[in-house]
Amino acid sequence: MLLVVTYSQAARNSLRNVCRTHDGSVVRRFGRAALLEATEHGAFLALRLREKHPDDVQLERTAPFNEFREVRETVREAAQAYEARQNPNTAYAKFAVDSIHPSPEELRTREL
Amino acid sequence: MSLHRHVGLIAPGLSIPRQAALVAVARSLNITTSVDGSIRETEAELRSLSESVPSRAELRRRVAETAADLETKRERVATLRGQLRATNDDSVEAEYRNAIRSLSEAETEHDAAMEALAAARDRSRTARDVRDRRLRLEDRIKNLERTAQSELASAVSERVDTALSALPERDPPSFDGADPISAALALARVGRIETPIALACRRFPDRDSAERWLAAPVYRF
Repeated sequence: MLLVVTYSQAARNSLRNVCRTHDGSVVRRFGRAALLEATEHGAFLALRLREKHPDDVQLERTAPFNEFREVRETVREAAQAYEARQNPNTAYAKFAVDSIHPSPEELRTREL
Repeated sequence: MSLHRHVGLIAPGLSIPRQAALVAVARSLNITTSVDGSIRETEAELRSLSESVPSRAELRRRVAETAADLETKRERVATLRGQLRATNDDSVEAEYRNAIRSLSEAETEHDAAMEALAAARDRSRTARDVRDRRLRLEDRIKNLERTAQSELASAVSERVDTALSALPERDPPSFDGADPISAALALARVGRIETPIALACRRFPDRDSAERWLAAPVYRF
């Protein structure tokens, strides 16, 4: 899908108008951002917005996220284990010490 | 909008946005609000923030072009490799070597284009942090202005009501319920107006009495 993020009142208004008029090409709206369908019409709408507000419109293409393909098993297990922790006040950094789970630093430095 | 724009011509068919006109009356009297300082400060901060986001269209085009070029050259190498297996021709081998060199150049160019785009993306991210802050300031100013307007309107509404009940020959129930001409007259009486008002209504016997009641210069038609 195409993610459109706006950075000014004028751009946000234009996005709102586009979403209102072209409901069929809008997957979801979030205030100053929206997800458009990955069709030429979605791209057409997104490009029009950028043409109108070059500095205030950011366009990105999103991709589906498959954690089984893109993320190491240790990371998935760490997330599961941390959410099942006994004490809700334990920070992850502390939780990871002396465990099989990766440290926050390791997680931050390894790219997907 | 100045008060005179609202009540500079008082004639049949007049239409007055009530809230905005009350605000204009208060402004003509230089009434201040509790948020004036915040509005000034926020506007100053907004003016100080300007960072334009570098356009990356050229860089994106370059990435797309070098990627297409790379693809073509890869196919060429693959084709020649196939031919080379089928023949011992020296000229095919020379062509194959050329194609490989060309492919490696294309790879370098594509890598450079990708790197340039990534660097520009990082710069844009910083610029967008600034834009983000601007948008928040713009929203805050809008909210503060709403507060200011409602303070200004309430600061004068009682005086406008009093003026309405002092109108000759009329006694409207309320400012919102008053006919436009009565409302305009009351607004003009409370506010400070130095530019003459053009008056085309039969509420006053003559110009003098109109000027006295409105405390403003008047042309009468």
